[in-house]
Amino acid sequence: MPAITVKNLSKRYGSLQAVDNISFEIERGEIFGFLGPNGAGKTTTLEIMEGLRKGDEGTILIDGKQLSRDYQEIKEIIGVQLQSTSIYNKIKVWEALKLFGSYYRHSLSLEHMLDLLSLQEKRNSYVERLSGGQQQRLSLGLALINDPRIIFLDEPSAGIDPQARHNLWAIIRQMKEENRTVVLTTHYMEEAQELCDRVAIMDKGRIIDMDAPQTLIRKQNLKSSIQFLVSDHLDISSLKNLEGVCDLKIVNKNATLFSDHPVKTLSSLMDLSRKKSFRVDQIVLKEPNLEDLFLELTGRGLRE
Amino acid sequence: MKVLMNQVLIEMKLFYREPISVFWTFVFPAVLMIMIGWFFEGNVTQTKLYILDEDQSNKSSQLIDLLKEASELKVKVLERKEFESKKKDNRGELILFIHKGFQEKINSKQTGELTFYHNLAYGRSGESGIAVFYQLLPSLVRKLTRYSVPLNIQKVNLGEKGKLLRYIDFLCPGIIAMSVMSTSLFGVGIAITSYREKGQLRRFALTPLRKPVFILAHIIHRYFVVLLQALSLILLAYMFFDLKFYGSIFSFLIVITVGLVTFISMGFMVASRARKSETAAAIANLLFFPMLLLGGVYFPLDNIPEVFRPAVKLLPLANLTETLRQVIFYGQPFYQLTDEILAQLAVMLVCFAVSVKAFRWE
Repeated sequence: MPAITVKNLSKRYGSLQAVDNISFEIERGEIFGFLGPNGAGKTTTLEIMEGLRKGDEGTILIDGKQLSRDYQEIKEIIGVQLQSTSIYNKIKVWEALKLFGSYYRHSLSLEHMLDLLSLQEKRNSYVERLSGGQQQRLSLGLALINDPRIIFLDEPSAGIDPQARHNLWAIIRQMKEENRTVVLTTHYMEEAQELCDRVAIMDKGRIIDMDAPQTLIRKQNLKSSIQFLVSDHLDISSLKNLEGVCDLKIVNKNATLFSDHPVKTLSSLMDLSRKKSFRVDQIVLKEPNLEDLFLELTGRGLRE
Repeated sequence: MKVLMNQVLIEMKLFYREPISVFWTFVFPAVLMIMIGWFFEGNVTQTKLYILDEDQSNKSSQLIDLLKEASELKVKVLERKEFESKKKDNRGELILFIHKGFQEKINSKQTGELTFYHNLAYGRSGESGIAVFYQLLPSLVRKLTRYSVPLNIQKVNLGEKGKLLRYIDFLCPGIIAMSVMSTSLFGVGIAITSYREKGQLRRFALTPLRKPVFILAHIIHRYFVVLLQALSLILLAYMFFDLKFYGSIFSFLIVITVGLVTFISMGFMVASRARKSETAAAIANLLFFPMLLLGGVYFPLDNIPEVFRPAVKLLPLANLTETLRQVIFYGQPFYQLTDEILAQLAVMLVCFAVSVKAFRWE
């Protein structure tokens, strides 16, 4: 039995079709990501799965239970971090954790949570005095307090620094190791690529494609790119004939080669530069990523 | 149950960590009461005089006209039925009873009989009215009889002896009731709405915490806050104005509890759907001012037009003020005040049901 089954889900806000007839399944122990630009319908989809909103049409099973019927039961086994969680300003960190823990039949100990979130030193601080990253951690803590089987994280790394992001990723991986299911939304392709077993790429309320990140990229047959600065007197046609090159672009002195076999292309480029004695500076090899994929699929960038 | 206790505890901590809310709850009503108490420590100068004319004669109506001319008196002639109810349910009004045969006796140079009903429990206003009457008496007699015919004037005290209702005794229960109402309506209404406005309730929607538990916890928390407020006001009135407390503490607690829970539920109803604090404040004001006007806080309700009476009977503020006055000053036990208590409980149930039904987390 999959952790989550969504069938024909639709949601409309006035004239805006926020979610447009999507269906998918999320397996147990999987880290599943929704990737897409703002307004793609990721958050709406997630909030419907969390039970915070109601879809107009479609059915949702969480752990085999009907969301619309057994919501009170489902709440016990899911943990949710909202995009921006604000709780009472004047509540202390330990009080917040304890309070939320008290709502569940089963909850993790306060000390365990403070350790996991690295918030031991801040246990007696008011929530309003915490830094952005600390607040983010606390809200993650509120999501994990009930030892949930299924965890929903909406833009978990939005607005936190790279160090904090890596700590977050470590916690999420640990959750996976403990065989929990993690569902997250993001518009950072690194996050999706680093963390997710599978991603669903969303745009305008639809899922355009869904698979493991590497498979998605392979499926679209995206090229790696090699960028470098070239000197003035260069015969462009000689670059075109390098091994593996299928396309090239030169703007001013910036050359970009698109290749099926970046390593072979690179070594033949080196050979060529030695033979013809021209300089190749600032070489950058770029593997295709989800950003490129999204561009390929929609003709737009993720951050637009 | 444990969840409820936890929730109550947290709400209390949050409350006392906000100095502003503590100020509005405790300091402001206290200052208000002291100010009003000082300003109005004296009595109203013009005395009301109600008259029942049993004689219905020229002489009796002449007497009434003469009394109407006196600037110290405000005269109103009563019907028989009104007279009975004023006599039975006397709130300090002075009543002059002109006996049957008044004209006949005066014309035959016998003693004309008059009776004053006053109520010492409501202070000296009645007595001062009688004093005015005695001052006018020689000229009255002259004008009425042209001879000096003695009038037999009796005084009947309708109130209990030894009790003197000063304005502060009248005011204090009113101020308590009003403070209870305003802290409940505005305190609860705006606090909950602003939590919602800042998205601070949204997170609760995702936990197994149930709405009625959350609402109940908040009501219990507020109950203790407002109870403390009421008790501090009583203590203050006792210290500064020597408030007389004739009732039992137990009855007082019952009566105040009914009022508190009613108004807090009403506050919750105000907050149940509003998305902006401004909306909540507007709704609260809409409830607040009519009740303040018709709640009998500053002035007795005896003079409001008949049409409003049934409505007033349902208004929680009027009922709370009345029950508090009855318990504190007249020493009534709570079970003598079932009408007022039941009316409040009915309002409370409606408000709570609406709150639970309409409440939303975001």
